[in-house]
Amino acid sequence: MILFWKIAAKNILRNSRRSLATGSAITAGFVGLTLLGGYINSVHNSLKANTIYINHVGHLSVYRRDATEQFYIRPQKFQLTPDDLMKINQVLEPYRNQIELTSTYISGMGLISNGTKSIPFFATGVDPETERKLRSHPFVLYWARDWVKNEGNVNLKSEGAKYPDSVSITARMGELIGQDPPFNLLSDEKRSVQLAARSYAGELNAVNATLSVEHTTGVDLAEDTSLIAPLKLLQELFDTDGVQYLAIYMLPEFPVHDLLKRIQNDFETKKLNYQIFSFDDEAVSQIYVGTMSFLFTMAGFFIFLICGAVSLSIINAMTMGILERVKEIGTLRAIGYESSIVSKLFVREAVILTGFCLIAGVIVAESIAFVVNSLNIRFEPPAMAGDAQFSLTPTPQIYFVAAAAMLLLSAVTAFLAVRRKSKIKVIDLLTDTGA
Amino acid sequence: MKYLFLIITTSLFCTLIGLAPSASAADAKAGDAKLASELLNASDISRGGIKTGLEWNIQLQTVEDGSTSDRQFTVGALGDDALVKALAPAKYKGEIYLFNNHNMWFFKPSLKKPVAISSRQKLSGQAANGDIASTNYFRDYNPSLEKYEVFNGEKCAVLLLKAKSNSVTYDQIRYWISLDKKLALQAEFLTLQGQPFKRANFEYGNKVTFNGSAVPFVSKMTIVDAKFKDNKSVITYETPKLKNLTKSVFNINNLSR
Repeated sequence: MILFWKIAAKNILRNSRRSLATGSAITAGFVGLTLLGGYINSVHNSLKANTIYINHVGHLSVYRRDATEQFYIRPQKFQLTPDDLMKINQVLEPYRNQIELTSTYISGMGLISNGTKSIPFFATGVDPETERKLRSHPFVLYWARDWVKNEGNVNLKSEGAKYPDSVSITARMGELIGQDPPFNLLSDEKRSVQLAARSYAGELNAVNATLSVEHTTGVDLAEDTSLIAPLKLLQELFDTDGVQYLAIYMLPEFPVHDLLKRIQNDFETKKLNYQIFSFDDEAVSQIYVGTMSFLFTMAGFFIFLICGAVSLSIINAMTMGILERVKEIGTLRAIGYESSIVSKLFVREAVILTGFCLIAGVIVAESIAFVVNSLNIRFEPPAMAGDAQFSLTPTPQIYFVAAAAMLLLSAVTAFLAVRRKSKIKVIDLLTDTGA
Repeated sequence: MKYLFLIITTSLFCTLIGLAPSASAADAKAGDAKLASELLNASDISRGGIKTGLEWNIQLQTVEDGSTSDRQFTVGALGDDALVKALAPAKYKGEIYLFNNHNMWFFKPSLKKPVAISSRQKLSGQAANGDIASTNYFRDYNPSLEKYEVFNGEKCAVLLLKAKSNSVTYDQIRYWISLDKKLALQAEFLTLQGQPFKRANFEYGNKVTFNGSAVPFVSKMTIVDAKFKDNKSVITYETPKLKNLTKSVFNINNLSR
């Protein structure tokens, strides 16, 4: 068995020019696949960080049943009351070892006014301390640094000590209301704004607020209206002691969907009228789901193209090699090797060659990724606010999957190319002119 | 020469015959427009659209999705301005809605500054902010006469009111005004596409003395959702009286003092 591997390896070295041509195609295909995977990985993680932590969806989120469709129409009926939260927390208790933290949120629409002008907002009420933790979470800082980089040490928690009614708005909202960031450096008069909205009872209400922090949502459509305020301030505005939902932030080593099923099951068993969603559920994160669907469709198309091109190159190189080596096949057959053994020899050659190419491919892919990431190439992703770094982050998993795909591809194509020739009569193989 | 004279005479005759109907149609159209304007202007008086100061109280009862809420306001109006103060429930006492021409402000004692709001926003249930004090449809809308119709036994002109600007409460209103009493009896509030989204009926049980004579004044406005008829707001107008109000009452800068 080892002898055949040795023969295969020697054949590769013996036909170095042909091996180089075939190897180049394999390496290029492997590098293309891993870099494409690296780009998708980068976008996926950025979007995940944005959805889960920056836009407060959490890995899992618990709502009153049907609240995802009905909450903004009938908030009073579909909110979670303190009693509901107590029941939900009891269900979560056995799973605390999987949970990093939980937080409650409220959101709603209204007007922000500077005393002379009002513009609409879509506000999210947060716990300032949790918000600080989330925006400085290692996952966010690694994957979504572009969306939290401007905040520095100024946050709702730090500003809240001086102004309990501190709110954070986007730079674009500041522009619309006539105030430029950094808001904490403005005079008290300029920082003073009022928030008006319909309370959950349906009456107009308004509260004072202080412009303190600037944030970005990362989503272009939301930049004109996004406001983040302390949960208590929004509860006062909407005149409620309830919340819209409870978000669960999980520790990274635990599977999200597994916990989702367990909690959902607990709700059903205890006949609790709540629903739990994962961050990749369209009901709670349309942007994440929509963007990833688009990206996977596009990636699927590119993978198809890359694999198609690589397959054709390998088949072509293999076929040419085999045509050149018909007499060799004939000789092997003449000295007693069966056609299947000859086929396996050529497959071994392809596998060894691919193995070398994969090693080279990892080096090339890592080098390209390093150079591209170092260049800090900026681009404006569609529907996203501001620019983002074009980064390539291939992972061991991506390398492994791409390597497995390339090995399979080269082995199968080599087998298909040699199978026909190896079944020809020995005499015909020996007298073949290669034409 | 004789033929030429005949041709010219015939042509002139035909032209006059042809023009006559269109001239009378234009006259009728102008007459309709004048009537529509007059009716709208006259009907505004009984809804509070008086240039001199006027004050009345409002009880606003809202039924929405089975739950009922009650609010009370006092309204002072002078020309294009109006000041609405919440009286009850106690929770809302001290809240103020100020209408300065087409601008509207909301203020309550705990606020550092008043909030600019839109008259189109919902105040409570079916009632928009503008419904409690927007009295001057003649100023805000261009009327056109659509048809005549008998409504509740009274012959009415049905006007289509189109907003002169987008700062008014509704884009379009179909408005039934009694030809005899010159009072608005019904309104259909229309979307931009012309579909009614709510309807209002008016009653005139109050009187107010204006220019030396007692004129009817609106006593009830019932606003019903066009689709969900159980959802409605009833605005009851009480004790309307002329009052000497000064311009400073309606000054936005005086609200937060």
